[in-house]
Amino acid sequence: MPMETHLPICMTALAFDRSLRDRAGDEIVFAILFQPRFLASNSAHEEALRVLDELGVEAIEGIPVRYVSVPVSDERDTERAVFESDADIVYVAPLRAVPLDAITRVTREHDIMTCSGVDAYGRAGLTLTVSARGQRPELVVNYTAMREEGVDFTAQLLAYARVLEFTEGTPEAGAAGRPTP
Amino acid sequence: MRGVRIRAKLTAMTSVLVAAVSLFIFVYFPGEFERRAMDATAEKARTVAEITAFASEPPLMFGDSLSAHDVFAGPAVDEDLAYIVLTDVRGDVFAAHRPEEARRVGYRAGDGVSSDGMVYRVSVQVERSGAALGRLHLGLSLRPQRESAAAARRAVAFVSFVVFALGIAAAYVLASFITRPLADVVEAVEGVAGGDLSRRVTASTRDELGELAASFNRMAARLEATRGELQTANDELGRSNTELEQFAYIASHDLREPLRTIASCIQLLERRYGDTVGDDGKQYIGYASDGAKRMRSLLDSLLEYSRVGSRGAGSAPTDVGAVVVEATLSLATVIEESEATVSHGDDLPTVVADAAQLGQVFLNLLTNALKFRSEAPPEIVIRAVRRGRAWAFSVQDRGIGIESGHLERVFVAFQRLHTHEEYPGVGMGLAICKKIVELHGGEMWVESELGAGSTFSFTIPDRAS
Repeated sequence: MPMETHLPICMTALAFDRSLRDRAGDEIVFAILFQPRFLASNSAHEEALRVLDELGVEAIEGIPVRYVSVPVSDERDTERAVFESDADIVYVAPLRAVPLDAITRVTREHDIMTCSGVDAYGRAGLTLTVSARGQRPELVVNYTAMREEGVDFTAQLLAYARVLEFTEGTPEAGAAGRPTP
Repeated sequence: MRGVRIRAKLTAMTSVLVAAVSLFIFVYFPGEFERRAMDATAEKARTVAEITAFASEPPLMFGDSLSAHDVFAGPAVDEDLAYIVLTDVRGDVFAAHRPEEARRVGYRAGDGVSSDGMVYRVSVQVERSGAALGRLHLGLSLRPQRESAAAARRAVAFVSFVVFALGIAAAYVLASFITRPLADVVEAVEGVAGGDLSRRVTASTRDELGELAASFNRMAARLEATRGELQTANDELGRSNTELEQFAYIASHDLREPLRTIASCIQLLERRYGDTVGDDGKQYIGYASDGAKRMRSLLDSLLEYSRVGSRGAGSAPTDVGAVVVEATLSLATVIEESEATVSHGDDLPTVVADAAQLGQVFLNLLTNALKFRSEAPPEIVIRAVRRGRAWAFSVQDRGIGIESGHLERVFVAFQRLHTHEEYPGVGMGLAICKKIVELHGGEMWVESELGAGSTFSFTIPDRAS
């Protein structure tokens, strides 16, 4: 799903999180997690910054948003980087050789919401992803992950989105868009 | 209303009440039903619109019109739904269900709620955190409400008619139930009024009507007992009266013969020995002769009086005018000598009476009017006026009049207010008149002022009427 399509959808969906103000406080830190040495990840990061710049979203539900980039290289590094970023929302770019467990352990422990444009990451344990249903984008919410991360989406959004009631596992991220089996 | 029977009044009043209730049901309930149906429709429309608007926030925010149609799929199940139109902040149509119908009824006719009688329109704003996202316009068809209202009107009309019909029937039955004992009492009262004192009412209840029936029965029993006593007394009185009349008749009739002998003997004495008895003897013979004559007059009057009762009154149409003329003619000499005038109208009626006895009444009254005259020539006026179901006749004179204390005495037999020397007579004329009048079912009385004259009046029932 192109960045221009799925990232605005993710940003819009954040407005339906009733726990956002409690989790974020006076400022929302939106972190973009990527692997600089992984081309696809790096490209996604740059494209995300561009799209966010074009969107110009400075506040969500009246709370100012600050965007940060979080480069990671391996599993241990990832866990630490996420924790130190002080992020409230982590957008996960395509990763390679980094298990999603390394991310979700931290996010679930510290009530940090995860989202991604990679369809498989939703089934693997990230809260919000955007997939394609035919020609249309489809919002996918992993309900288990959502509860674990302290996210409280409204019924409107849940009614609108496709809700997953399970998590296939926390595979190590392999090729872009493909969770490790 | 006074002549209308209680049952009819009760039935009428209850019917009016039932009609009013039926009319109220017919008028009030369909309107109330329609109003409530409209309220329910409005509430439903508002609720559906708000829910749909709420669910439409994500599609509007995500710019996903297809999802909006998914949102519309829920309320679209309702066949009463006329249309849904979701517009964005610019007012452009974002998504619509049955857009043609929406355009046809004019979904932008107004914000809030409105109705054209066919469709109930609701327009609500779709907003997120105070920011307007668009507007949802929803229309609900009022056809089901109109149809159900029409069905309700028919049902209520039927119910009203049934209530009215049953109410009228119940009113009639109730009125009959209430008034039947009353009708029994009325029937019994009419029977008693008609003379059947043996009539009684069966008191089947213990309410006021039962008490009335019991009281009536007690009254009727007392009346019957009293009538029996009266009948016995009356029979006794009648028997006594008959015996008295027979005695008077026999006595007066039988005494006339020895009296005639005495009178004849006195005449013989006067004729044969009148010249030898001297002046004192002649005077005594004169006294005896006058006494015999007066006694004969008394016996004749008494006999006539008793005959009135024993003969009874005949009953044939009698021209009172002719009777009066005949009585006047028989007194023509006295009238002429006294220069009296007797006048009466031409409108004296014809009554059912005994002509001879009626003539006797007028003759006696005219005789009295001529006898008890003042210095001036007597002026006698005879009149007849209608008095209820009878004719009232009066004979008015301008004679000496009667003292008010003696008005009743004049009708008593042998009662005289003057000496025989002042006004000759035996005092039976008015008694005979009164007896004749009463025998005809009438009554007699006198109005008089001393020195101004008297008016004797009597009534004769008009049996022809």
